[in-house]
Amino acid sequence: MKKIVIDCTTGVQRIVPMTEAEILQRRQEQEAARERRQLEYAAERARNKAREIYAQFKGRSYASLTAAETRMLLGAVLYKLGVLDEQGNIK
Amino acid sequence: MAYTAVPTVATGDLWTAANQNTYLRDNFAATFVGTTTDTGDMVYSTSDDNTITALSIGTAYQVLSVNAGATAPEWTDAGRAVKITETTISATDTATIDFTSIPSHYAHLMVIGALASDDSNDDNIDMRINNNSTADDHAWQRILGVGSSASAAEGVTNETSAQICVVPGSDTPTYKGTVSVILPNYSTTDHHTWTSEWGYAKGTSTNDVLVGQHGGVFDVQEAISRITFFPDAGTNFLPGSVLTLYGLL
Repeated sequence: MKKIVIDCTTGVQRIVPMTEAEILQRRQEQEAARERRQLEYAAERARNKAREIYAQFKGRSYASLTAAETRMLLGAVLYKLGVLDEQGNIK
Repeated sequence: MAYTAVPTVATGDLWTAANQNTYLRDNFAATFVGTTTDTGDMVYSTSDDNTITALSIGTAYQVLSVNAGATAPEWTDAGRAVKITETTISATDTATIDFTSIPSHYAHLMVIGALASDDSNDDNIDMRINNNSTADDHAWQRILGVGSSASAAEGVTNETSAQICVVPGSDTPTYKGTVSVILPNYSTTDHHTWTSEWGYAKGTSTNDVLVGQHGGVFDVQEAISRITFFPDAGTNFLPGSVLTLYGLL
């Protein structure tokens, strides 16, 4: 891994290898970034699911829901709560 | 004193003391040599008869402009952007772009980039100020629009750098994301807030175009003299990425 270092006073640009410490720091930051992104993706998927459900059931009364619809809504809530995974399995 | 046109003389003509004074002494006095007195003086004509006057040098980083009456030049503090430096990534193993020793005499800084990450999908670009990776010295907020959806996110806990934009990843290597970052009053010893605007497209289908804004703070009371950029989850910038640093006056 390399870095471009630009001295903005002299205008000199150099391409230099990163030190072991810098590489280690980058690896740790990358790992944290990837974990955060997974959380963001999960949150986004949950939001999208909520929007789908809202659009599908808007205006319906709870009493009018079929058993399959009720199960789907319950599944969405359990997923949102973290009880179910994306495949619908209890974690 | 105006310049006097010098007559053509021929062999045998009489050249008097009055001629000498008018055509040599007075003309020299009326031209650049006799008009400028200080370092940096410039001369310009004030009339149609070759009368000239000196314009003293302005103050640091002023620019030469035309006055309000369009009759003379003058030095002004007119705002402008000065390109401090620019770098274009050509290799595949460039992980970091590091602007160091940033001069302090500009009013503000602006960074404009066309960037992409080697991460497999969309990625964020991070900014670190003054090489400070102390947790909680950075914080950022994001709003993002894609398709018909808008979302927000923040980074306020243990942040060692700040996200500034979202860019395409290696799955769409021919696309770059554009971003502009403004860092106002960067040379003051105060907390430094900043903003960025960005957008990118990786096609023309729905959800292919993203736009957003970031804002944040470098929560340390010191002047900014160094800014470092690197991919968030990816390792390197993709070749063809360009980053330009401007100073605003």
